[in-house]
Amino acid sequence: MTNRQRNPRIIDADGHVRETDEEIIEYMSAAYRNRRDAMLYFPLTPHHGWHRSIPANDFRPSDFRVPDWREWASKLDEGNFELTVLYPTRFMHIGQIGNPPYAVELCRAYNDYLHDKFLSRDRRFRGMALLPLQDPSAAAKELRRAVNKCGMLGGILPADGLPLPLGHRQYWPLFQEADRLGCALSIHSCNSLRDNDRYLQPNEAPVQQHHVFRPDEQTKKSPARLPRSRLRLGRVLNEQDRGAS
Amino acid sequence: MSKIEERLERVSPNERPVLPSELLERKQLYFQCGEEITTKRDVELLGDDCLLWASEFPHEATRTDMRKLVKEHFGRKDLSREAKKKIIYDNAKRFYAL
Repeated sequence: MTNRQRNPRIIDADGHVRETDEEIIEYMSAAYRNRRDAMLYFPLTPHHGWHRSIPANDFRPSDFRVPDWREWASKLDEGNFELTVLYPTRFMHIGQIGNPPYAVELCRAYNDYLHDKFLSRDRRFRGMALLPLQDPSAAAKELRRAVNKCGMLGGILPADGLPLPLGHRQYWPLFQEADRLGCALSIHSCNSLRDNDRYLQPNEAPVQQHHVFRPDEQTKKSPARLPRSRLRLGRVLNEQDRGAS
Repeated sequence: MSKIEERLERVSPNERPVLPSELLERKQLYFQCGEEITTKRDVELLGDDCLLWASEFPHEATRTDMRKLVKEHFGRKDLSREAKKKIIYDNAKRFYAL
């Protein structure tokens, strides 16, 4: 067996951080930090809603981890990964924020948090930027900042919540910026918040979570026209065969 | 994707956007499903240049042993050695421009 076969090269294309509101608020502007108690009374984003990693609602504390960079790095060592590309957890719901300036603030704060708490701690951590498509020119600016200043690999397009399909002309400034930067854009699934309490039923959530993508709308336009862009769809096709259980 | 293409083929060539199959050919479109039981079918339908492997750590309680996950991937009998290598390394390197 060759050395390469013994030690294959591995890139983890989708790992996650479990960001908390208490951490993120520290990266928000003073206007928000100074109202910390009020801001943290409700979740900063619409909440994720359910414990996916707890089988059949049988809660075991050891099942749910909120790893810091050290614990995550130990996992990279364990698997001998060259690197992992990190995505958010709670803040995947950024598309469901209705207020554009607030979305811009949250995305900047999350991206700063990710850079400070993970990307700057170990070179094997790479990140994808959260983008406020509620304000497409601000999203383009944030993508530029995240890629050029924070070393991120690209940006995340919200899978749910925006009033217009992702291919809409309104979002083209962002796609054009991604093309100029030559970076990746990724759509990662998140659960819809409709009837969120229902997702506490056993096994319902893992089926529902992957049905967010709407291909007729989202593949229509501009990503296809941009020669340097690349688009990734998170977990779209693969769960269909499992069906509801 | 076949439904998308079927509908788009009815649009006049001058107005029609790029088809998903063309995006795949250009290596501009990727899917994360390289670790799933359906991956063999995905390779047959989409090719092995567009699939990405992921740990999803820490989301899945049953997928926290990274050595085991990697071993499972390379131990698969339903994928060629070349496909496994592309899914767990080459495709991500290209997609993320690493």
